[in-house]
Amino acid sequence: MSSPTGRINIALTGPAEMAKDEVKKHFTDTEGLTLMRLGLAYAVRCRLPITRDDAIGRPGDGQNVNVGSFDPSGEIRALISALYPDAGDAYAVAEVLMSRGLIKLEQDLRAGRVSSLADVMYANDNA
Amino acid sequence: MRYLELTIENFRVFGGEQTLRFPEPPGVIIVYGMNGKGKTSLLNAFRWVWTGTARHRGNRQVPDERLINREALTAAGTDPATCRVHLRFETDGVAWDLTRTLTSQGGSLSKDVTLLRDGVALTASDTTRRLAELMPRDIEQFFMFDGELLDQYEKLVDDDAAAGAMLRDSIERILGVPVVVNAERDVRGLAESAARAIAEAAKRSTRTRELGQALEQTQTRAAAHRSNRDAEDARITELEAELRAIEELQASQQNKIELLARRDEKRSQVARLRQQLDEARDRFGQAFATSWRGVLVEPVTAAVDSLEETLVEDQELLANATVAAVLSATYRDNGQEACPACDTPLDEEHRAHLTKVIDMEGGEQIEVIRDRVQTTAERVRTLRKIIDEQARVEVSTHESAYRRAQIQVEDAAEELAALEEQLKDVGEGDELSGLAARRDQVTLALAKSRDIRDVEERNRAEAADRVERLRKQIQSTGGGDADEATVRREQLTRDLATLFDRAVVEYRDRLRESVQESASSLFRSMRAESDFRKLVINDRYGLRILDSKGQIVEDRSAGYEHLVALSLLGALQECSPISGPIVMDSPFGRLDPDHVRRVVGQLNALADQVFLLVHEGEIDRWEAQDQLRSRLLAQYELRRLSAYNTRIEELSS
Repeated sequence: MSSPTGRINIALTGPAEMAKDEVKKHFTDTEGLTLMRLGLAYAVRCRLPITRDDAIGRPGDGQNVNVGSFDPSGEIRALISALYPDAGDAYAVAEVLMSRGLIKLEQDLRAGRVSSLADVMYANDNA
Repeated sequence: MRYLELTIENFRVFGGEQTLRFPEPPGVIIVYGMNGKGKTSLLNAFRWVWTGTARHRGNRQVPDERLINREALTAAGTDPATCRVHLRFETDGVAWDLTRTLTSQGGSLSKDVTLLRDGVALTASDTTRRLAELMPRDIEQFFMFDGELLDQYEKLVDDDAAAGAMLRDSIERILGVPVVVNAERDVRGLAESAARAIAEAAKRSTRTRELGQALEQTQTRAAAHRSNRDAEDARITELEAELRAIEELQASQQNKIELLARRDEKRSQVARLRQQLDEARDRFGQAFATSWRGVLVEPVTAAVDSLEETLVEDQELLANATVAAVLSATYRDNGQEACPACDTPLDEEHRAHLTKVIDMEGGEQIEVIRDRVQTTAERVRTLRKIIDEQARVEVSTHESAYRRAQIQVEDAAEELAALEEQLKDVGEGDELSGLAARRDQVTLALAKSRDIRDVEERNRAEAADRVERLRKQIQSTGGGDADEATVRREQLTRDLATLFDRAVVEYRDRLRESVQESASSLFRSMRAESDFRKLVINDRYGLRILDSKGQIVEDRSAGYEHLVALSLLGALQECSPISGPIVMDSPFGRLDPDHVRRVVGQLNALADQVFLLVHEGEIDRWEAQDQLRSRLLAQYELRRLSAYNTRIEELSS
């Protein structure tokens, strides 16, 4: 199934895939889609850049899911469009954000900056 | 004697190599650890390095194959696995290094013990001899003991307890009584030998031949009765040891039954907690699925606020444009001659301005603004749907419950593993009913042996009296054919034997008095009940409390039993020719806080170096610091890394 933006799939980068495994180990055994959405939300919360760069790797090297599974009601696309109206393809932005978010979340867990999901939900409050 | 350093390597719950260095001045060293963390294993490290034996809390021996740390054993695989305890200590300026090692390979065990004196290794036989001198096996229980087993000293006041009789022997050993008793026995042997020479001489003289023969026969009879009595004494000792072993086994089996019950209960608890954990995990998993909405609460709220501002502005623009469009239509309908709002005729200049405004506000602009308002409103609705404050609350609640359940399961599983481990240590044993039957048999045999022994002793005493009478008769008829030296030797050894006989009795009496006075003094300094005035000792070194009216306190509490036992141990240290550090496991378990304070205040009276292996319920860490001050030399904590690995960590004061 293709999205209104014409995309069929959305995927993590390789480093984000590795980070996802670590995050999964830390929390309860949660499915990948939930962690991808969590990564995206964490990136938005931490105001991470929406631009691609080599540091986060190449999308497609990690978990690859159908856009319809990732965002069945289209609310994530609407969210991205609302937050970044000039950014173009919302799912391209979502793809960057979920990878960046998972990589940062894994780093923050490892450094002890966050240790629980409750911490994640209130992270970066003073930023 | 003073301990300088203890190194433990892969011994019981202590994985890897761990070293404790003990500070120089006399004082107290405290090791804190919750139950199951390794206090008894630490006591056993001291016990094992000295004696090669480790004991469970029920006093039963730990099998050698259970001494090596389980994780080390597993890690070694088919390679050799070794446990080692090394104790450095000094006595009167001499430095000693004692190391005991046990190696397991391919199912067989090899043991080794080395002792260095001032850095020079002793031979195996010298090592055995020196160890027996430095820490005789029978008295190690007064230097390394489990506070929970102090109730065994109650048996000293029970005339029928086999354990009490054995304890009495041990107490007499630490007090040095065997030295005098052995001397008395040796001198008695010399006297009997000299008396036989007198009988021989009497037989050689015609005047005393018959008396000499009678004397020889009576001596032989006395010797036979003595031999029978000694044999019966030895049998009594064996039976007492067996009875004690049965009592220990019974305690151990009872302990096993209790352990099994606790293990079963813990298993059920673990299963219940695992079920609760699964449920908590499911609830947390469900909450996790919506957690991303909770993460977005602040950024999306900020975006909604911003969009709503734009929306208000655009809605105002739309309203203005709509009014403008109505006015524009009216203006055009009126031929563009008058103001569409107030109908005032317009001049050329105002008409041009109005046309320009109407063109700008109306027309296609309204559709653009209306589209924008609709889009923005739609975005706001979408974003508002994403914000989910409730998700945050639920995630936090379920996550906390899940983590709590995880910890509960881990704790319970660890406790279960410790119980399983204890059960393995207890091992298979005789059934309680079989033990009870055997105990009855041994008790009966013991009573019979004691009767036989009493009869033999009576017969021996009668024979000895008869020997004495015959000897006097021979003497009064000229002494037979004995020369002067033989007569003098017999006289001297007989007097010496009598002297030593009295000495043994007097030495025992004096020792008992010293122990009683010393124990009473300690007891008075530790007891809270001022009506309890002193301790009185019986012939087994059992101590009873005497109140101010001189009455024996019959029903003393478990706490006071404990206090009396500590008083006895302190007194034995004071009255003994052997002194050394004391290591006490769970010493205050039965005492209330007031008595703990009082005992802690008297620790220096027990020994120069005291090691307390306690849990914090027994003694408050800060209170111990405050009370002991400079006498508190070091504090350690036993920290459990896993069910089979405990670290000993020094605490900063």
